[in-house]
Amino acid sequence: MAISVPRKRFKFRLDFWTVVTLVSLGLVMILLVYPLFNILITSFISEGKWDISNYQSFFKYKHYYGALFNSFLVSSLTTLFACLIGIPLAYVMTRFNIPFKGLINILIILTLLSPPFIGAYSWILMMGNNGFITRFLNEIGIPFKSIYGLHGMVWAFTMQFYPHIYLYVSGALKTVDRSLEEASENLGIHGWRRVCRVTLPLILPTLSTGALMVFMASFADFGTPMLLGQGVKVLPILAYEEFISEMGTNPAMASTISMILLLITTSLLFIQRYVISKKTFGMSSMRPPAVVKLKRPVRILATLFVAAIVLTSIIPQATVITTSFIKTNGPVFTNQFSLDSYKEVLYRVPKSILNTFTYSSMAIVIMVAAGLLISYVVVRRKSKLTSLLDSLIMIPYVMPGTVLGISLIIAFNKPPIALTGTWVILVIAYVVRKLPYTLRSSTAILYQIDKSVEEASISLGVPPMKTFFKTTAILMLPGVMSGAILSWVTTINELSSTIVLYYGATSTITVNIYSEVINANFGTAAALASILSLSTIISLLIVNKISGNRGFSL
Amino acid sequence: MAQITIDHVTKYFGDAKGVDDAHIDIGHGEFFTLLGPSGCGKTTLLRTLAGFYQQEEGSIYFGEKCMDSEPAHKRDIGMVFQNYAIFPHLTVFENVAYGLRARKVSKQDIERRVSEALEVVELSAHRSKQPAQMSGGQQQRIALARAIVIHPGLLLMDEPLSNLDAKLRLKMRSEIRALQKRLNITTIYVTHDQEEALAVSDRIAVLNQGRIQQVGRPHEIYLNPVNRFVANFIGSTNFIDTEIMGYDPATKKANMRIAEQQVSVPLDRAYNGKALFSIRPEQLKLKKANTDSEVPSVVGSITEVTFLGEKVEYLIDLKNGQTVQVNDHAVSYSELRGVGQFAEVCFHVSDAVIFDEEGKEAIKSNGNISAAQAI
Repeated sequence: MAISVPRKRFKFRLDFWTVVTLVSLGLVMILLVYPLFNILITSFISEGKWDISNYQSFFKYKHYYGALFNSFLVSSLTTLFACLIGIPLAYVMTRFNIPFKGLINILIILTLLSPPFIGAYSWILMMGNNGFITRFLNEIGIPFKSIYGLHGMVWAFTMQFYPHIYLYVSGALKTVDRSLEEASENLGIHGWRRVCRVTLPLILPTLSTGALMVFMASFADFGTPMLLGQGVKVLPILAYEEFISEMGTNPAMASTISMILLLITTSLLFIQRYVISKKTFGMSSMRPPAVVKLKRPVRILATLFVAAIVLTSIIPQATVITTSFIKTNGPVFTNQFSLDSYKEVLYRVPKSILNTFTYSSMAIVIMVAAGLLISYVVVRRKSKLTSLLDSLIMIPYVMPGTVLGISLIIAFNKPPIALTGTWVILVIAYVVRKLPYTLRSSTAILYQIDKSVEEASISLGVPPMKTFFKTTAILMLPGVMSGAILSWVTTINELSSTIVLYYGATSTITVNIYSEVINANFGTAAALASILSLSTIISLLIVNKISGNRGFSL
Repeated sequence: MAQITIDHVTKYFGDAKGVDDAHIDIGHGEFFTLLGPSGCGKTTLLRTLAGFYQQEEGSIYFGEKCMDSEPAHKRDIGMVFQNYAIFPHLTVFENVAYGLRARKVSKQDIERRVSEALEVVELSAHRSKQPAQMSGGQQQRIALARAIVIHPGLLLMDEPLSNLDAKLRLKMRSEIRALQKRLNITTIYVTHDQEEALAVSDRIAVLNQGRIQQVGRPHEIYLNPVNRFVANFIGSTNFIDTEIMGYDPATKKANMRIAEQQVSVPLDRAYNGKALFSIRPEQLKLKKANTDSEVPSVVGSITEVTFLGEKVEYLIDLKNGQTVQVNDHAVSYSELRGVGQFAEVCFHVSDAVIFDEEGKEAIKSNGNISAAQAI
């Protein structure tokens, strides 16, 4: 009776999702792995021979290793200060009844999402050699030369990146169950000692993720050190200059520096992951901590503390927007209101404004589509292939923009794929750089969507692919969209890979701001920067609307 | 002719068998339940029927038609999921209409059939609501309406009541049963709750570790389990170690030593040696002072008394060191016993099932089964 049928164990079906997996893998191989492999090879070739002389030079000349030291110094100090500001701010904001919390949150996020170098540029306006704060400080007898130099970078970075710490820590503080702190009080440990011995250790894993974000962001940033460095160099600047140097390019050294940058960011990521893997506590917040109602004088003090930080960090944006409406006379601002700066940018660089929005929008469309499809294969079609795809796509998470730019140029400046100088390479760079974020938010949403919803649809007679678009895709879309819009915001503000990849006709707003600042056309730079700020604010409002005040996940 | 034929189906997960050589025929309009502990393969078998899994061996037939290469969306199955799987972005009406739209049913027919289905599950008033606003029980009704509105050839239900609270679960299970009988839809129902299975099913298949242990009507499975697993999984039972001696092929009887007693028992087949005597707590009685002593009994002392109102559970240590549970109906104060008291536990051999030493096979089935067959 029992007929033994051979087991069909390895059945290969070329369905839609297999195609998605294979195509995505192919594209990732060409657009990410091949360029990376290329700079790896290039870094080991000098004068046509295989050797490690590039690396030897790097560690021999102070010009090179000094920049490495500078990078470490700036990033470490920034991380330290960002924690010192971000942790108390998060604690005060989550635990006490501070007024206008919603507005304060928006301002903090706005600070984070403004183009990095706009901060630098505004601080120059205020604290440059002839800035009004510099003059004021000198007048009252405080010796302050200017913001140029490493200390200026630390200041500008801290003021921009502390929101990472704030957002991560306040998220974690909200999930600390009240009973843990109550238990501690009960055991006689309270006040500051309770915060240090219970609350801080509990949020440490999350804090370390935030700290890593700050370190990586300041380590990889290009615009701020370029504007504030004035001769003091950090690694991304060095890589850029080696690549686009007046003395003729040196792709080998640029590749070497890129590899060193990449090695450092990757190791940091792994160290952080390793450390938190040993220290992660599962916390299910049944009862989030209560918001303490402070007594009047204490409440005023706490509010002043919050306001001082948030207002200081939003000054650059305010300065930029204000100065964009002031008449300029060369690099000097007058006291008159005028729209001249806007007229001038619309007359002089309409193309780059258009470019910014065109390229970013193309990138967002691709990212939404890729986010939906790739997250699906990663989550629902788990296999060795899809987990490989997942980890490859995450590589750009640790890739400084300059490195990505350099790797793309080296890979695609010659046939068979010659893309250098086209807009395509910019869109590729944006998608590759931001896809990790879109993919993370998409997979997070997909994990929350029940698989049986799809099965219900299939059993009711709708084929699998159509089912995906009729059910899961629709359910994922709000989350994917808000993730993608946040990526869009960082894309319109992108400078570090654009500056390597653009050509005259494909220049963007950020590139123009950068060159206007270098040429001391502060009025037009401010107008361009204001356009970006306004777009950022509008986008944030849209995200807030879509996510229904569920908050931002960056 | 069987409506559904599961013909020696085996489903592998890696090298492990999720379902091992399942063979079942299910009749038209039958309410058939797959029952077993978690991981026993019941859901795997259900999902294989639905087409979400592809079996490696064997075949599945709906009527005459082989379903092996038929994709899930063409199997014409209504499925109700454990977590309801309601489409959260569609209204109640659109949820129920979903399968009809996929079948290109005309607008008027969709309107009529969805309205009917909503009426059947008593949700007509909620047709334009969003599912998120509805309770668990209501969501389960949407899921049910959505599955039956397409008039499926087969209705599959995967633990549909396990997410509901106890009271609602009782109400819904009788509603599901009534609806299934009214619409006469062949139904396969998965549950781990033996009481639920006994209550709703025409027939039950008990599964363990991927293998079907027994298929039968609820009372057959309860009263006449074929092995130790089934006896233990359905309800609770006492296993008492015994020894069978002196099997007589002529009378098909043997002597059984149980505790300090020697009892003559009829056997289904020749057997000598150690055996497991299985009897339900309610089939054991505490001997009252004035009753006759014809039935066999064993003696021991009461170690625990749990008073549950309608019944009293006694744990009794027998003289051979084993403990048995007796469920007694306490009618009056005078019948209540206390801890430490002496007790004489009596039983009818015909009620009991006896298994071989490993509990793999019954060597004596329930003596009343031939009478029960007539039910």
